[in-house]
Amino acid sequence: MPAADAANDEKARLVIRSCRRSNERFIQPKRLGFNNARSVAGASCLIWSRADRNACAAVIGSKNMAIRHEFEANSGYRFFKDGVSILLQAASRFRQGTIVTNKDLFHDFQRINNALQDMGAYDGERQGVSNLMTANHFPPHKGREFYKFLPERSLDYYKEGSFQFGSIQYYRSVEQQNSKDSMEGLSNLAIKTPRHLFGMSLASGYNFALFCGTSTLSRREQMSARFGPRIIRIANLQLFAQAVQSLLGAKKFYFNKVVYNDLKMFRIKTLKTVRLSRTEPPGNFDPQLIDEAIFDLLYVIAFFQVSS
Amino acid sequence: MKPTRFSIEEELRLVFEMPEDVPPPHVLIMKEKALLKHVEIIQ
Repeated sequence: MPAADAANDEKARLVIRSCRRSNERFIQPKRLGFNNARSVAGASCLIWSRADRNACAAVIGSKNMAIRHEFEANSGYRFFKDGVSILLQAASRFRQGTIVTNKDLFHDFQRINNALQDMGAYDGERQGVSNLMTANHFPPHKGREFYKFLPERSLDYYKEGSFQFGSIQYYRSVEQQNSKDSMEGLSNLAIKTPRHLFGMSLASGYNFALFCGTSTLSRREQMSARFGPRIIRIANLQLFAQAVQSLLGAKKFYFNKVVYNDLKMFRIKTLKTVRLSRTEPPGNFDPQLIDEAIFDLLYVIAFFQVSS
Repeated sequence: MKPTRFSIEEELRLVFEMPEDVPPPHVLIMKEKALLKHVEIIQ
């Protein structure tokens, strides 16, 4: 498939490329509404869409510090480092010197996420008002008590000492609708580097194991109706978490309040160099430019939306 | 659907950062009766 070029559109230059190995195809700029959008402010954007074959993969870096990537149809590029992955679903670069407001970012990410939903990357939900977020939105929870509402059958498992911890992927696809969150682990990052502003939409949290509950019983009836009539209480969450960490072999644990949001957006600054393309003006996306430093940056920022 | 009617002030999440992605079926199940000393059934 020949690469298309939307560079004639002055307001939004959608960078489109083809990958012969995987037959990547990209959504058209009009589907994003970029050609009519004042707020786009010169963004070059690419979103990965359908592919006829499953994946193309490559490994970059040295033997010890390898970043591996795979293309996933209708999802994006999955990057791996030491057995941990993040999924880059869309990436864009704003024109140098462009002033981009939070409102601009919201509209751009909204369009990109609508396109991702259209192509089946995830099912959208109404979860709450969207705000630009920082780490300050996620203070550590200082309480010690933890309650979990359960159906009768699950309580039997707990009585036997059987505890289940689901990953982000589990909660995105779990069959129980009351527990499902198809937007779990998704985030949109506005990354300001010394030269450019980048926008990236990604999914992460595949290496996080979650245990969900509440801090009080103030909505006991409502919670029981949703999750089950039985309730367990963990009196000292810190001690429980330490014990589980040791048993699971987890690197760390965190407990935070949960924040629901239609479109989780984070705005960050970095001195690191971010590149999506080897050419200027930007042309084809080169996944090998996502190196270890960029992987680490994305992973750390994405942590906030995973842990809370 | 995850719910806006959930109180965000109340819902907590205990998160364990694992050294690698959780493999399919994307859950870790741990059977350890020693953990029961932390757990009290209240209803």
